[in-house]
Amino acid sequence: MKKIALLLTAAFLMSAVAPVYAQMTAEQKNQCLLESKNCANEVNSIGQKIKKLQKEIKKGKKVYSEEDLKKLNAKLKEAESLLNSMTEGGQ
Amino acid sequence: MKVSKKILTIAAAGALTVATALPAFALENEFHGFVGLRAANSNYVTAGAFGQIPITGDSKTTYNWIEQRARLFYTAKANDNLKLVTGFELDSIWGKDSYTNGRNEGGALGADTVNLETKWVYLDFNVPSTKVNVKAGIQGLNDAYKSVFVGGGADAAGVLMSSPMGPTTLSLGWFRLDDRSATAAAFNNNGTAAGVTFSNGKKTRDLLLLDAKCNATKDMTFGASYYFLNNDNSQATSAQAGPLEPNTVGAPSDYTAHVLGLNAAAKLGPATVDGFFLYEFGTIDTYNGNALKSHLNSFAANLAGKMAVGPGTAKVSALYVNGGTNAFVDINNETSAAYSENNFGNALGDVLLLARNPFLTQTESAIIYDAGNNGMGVIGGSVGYEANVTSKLVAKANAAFAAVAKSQTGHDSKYQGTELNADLGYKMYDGLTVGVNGAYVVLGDFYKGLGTGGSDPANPYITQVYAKYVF
Repeated sequence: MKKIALLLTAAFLMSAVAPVYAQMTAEQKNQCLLESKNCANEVNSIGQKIKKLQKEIKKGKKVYSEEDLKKLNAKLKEAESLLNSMTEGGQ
Repeated sequence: MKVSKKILTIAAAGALTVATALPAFALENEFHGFVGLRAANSNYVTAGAFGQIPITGDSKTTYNWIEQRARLFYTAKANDNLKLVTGFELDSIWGKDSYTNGRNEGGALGADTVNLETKWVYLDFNVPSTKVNVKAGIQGLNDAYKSVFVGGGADAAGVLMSSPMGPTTLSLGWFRLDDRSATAAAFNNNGTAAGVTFSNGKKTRDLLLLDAKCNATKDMTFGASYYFLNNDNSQATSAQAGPLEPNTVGAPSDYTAHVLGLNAAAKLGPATVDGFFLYEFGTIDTYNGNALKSHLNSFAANLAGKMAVGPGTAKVSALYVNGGTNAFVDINNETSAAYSENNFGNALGDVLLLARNPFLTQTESAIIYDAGNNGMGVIGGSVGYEANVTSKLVAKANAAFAAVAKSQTGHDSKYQGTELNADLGYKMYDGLTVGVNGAYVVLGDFYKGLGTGGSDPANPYITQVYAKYVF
């Protein structure tokens, strides 16, 4: 029983730690836009997604590494391309 | 008790593993879409029409129609390195067909129809330990030249790989445009026995794309391309409109076309300038079943610019596409319907009647339907101005002209017409824009005497009320 209690306590502690970590990083980096993580509460239209990406890119090197910024720029380009494809004419 | 203790321990450990592992394996579902509605009045464009507008009658009659389009995109993202991308389309013209199955139907009383079109279905993944991205399946196909060669809503099955290398992004793609396996006797005109069934993989049309795009500085990009189009599909079909110029590329010809391109864009103070040059060479082996072995030698060029002027932005563009015996090769649908799979409207400017434009859905006709202008080529240009009247109201006005590049027999002039258009759009909500627009074309002498009884045809016009929602 002691073992079970120990395991459950450990599990509780880990589950309690995880959101704190997510919250801390979310203050600086948008993990949903950057790594497609912690997106559970994110419901964005394509326009909102583009605006959010532009906002994050504007934060620049104070928050993101050069590699992160490249990734965000690629995602912005992809979102803009999707928007263009959605509204473009054609059969 | 010992056994149940072990079970409990394993169960607790398992639950912990699942709980911590879940976020990493959770599938991200992403939905986006577009809904467009438009009600139109025109004296030439009729409901459901597509292709080149036939400016031959008196056309003093006004036609009206209302149509709608929904495009739904669903992406199943396993993680940042792997996703499935799908896109679907539902089109209907109000009052057209119900209780029958087919694309663009279901707009009549009763509505019920199966009219779901597949636009995209492809896998998008990154190759492990590399920076190479792969898109494999039916996807959007666009050149790096404002869709003059291929694009403007074109979708095709193929593989597109891309990878950044310093400031440059390299792309390599291969697309199978056609693989015909049979022909109809009525259109079998290349000497093959009527009704013959071809082996799959023989009567094909394939496209190879190689693009390089370099961000030279923050304000300047340039690119270079090589495209190779190989058409072994020399069998005519009822879908082919056929070029006006004989012995040119386009169905039913067997040809190879090599395309070399250069493009650049730069910010010069308050102005942005971009342009491209495309050169084509190759061999047209047969035309309409007859051996030809003629050399292909053609080109297209574009220069455009925009600049902040007063409260808005002024735009200007110019375009030349070669025509005649050395007509520019562009990509069109040759086996299912005579739809254009390219667009010169992006290079010409904002027009509503002269060229294909984003307002066109299932009713999709224009005075110049494809970039090659049905083998005649194009000389075109436009000026325009766009301004935010308020934070929600956007006004646009444009003037554009177009002429064929090479003189045509039976026409008094190369000049096709001048279009004047205006658009007023109101952003009602985030993503929803409603608006009105209209265009009027003063026809050139290219159409002189081509109306009923040798009269001059009436000038084309169109007026539209629209709503567009993106999410």
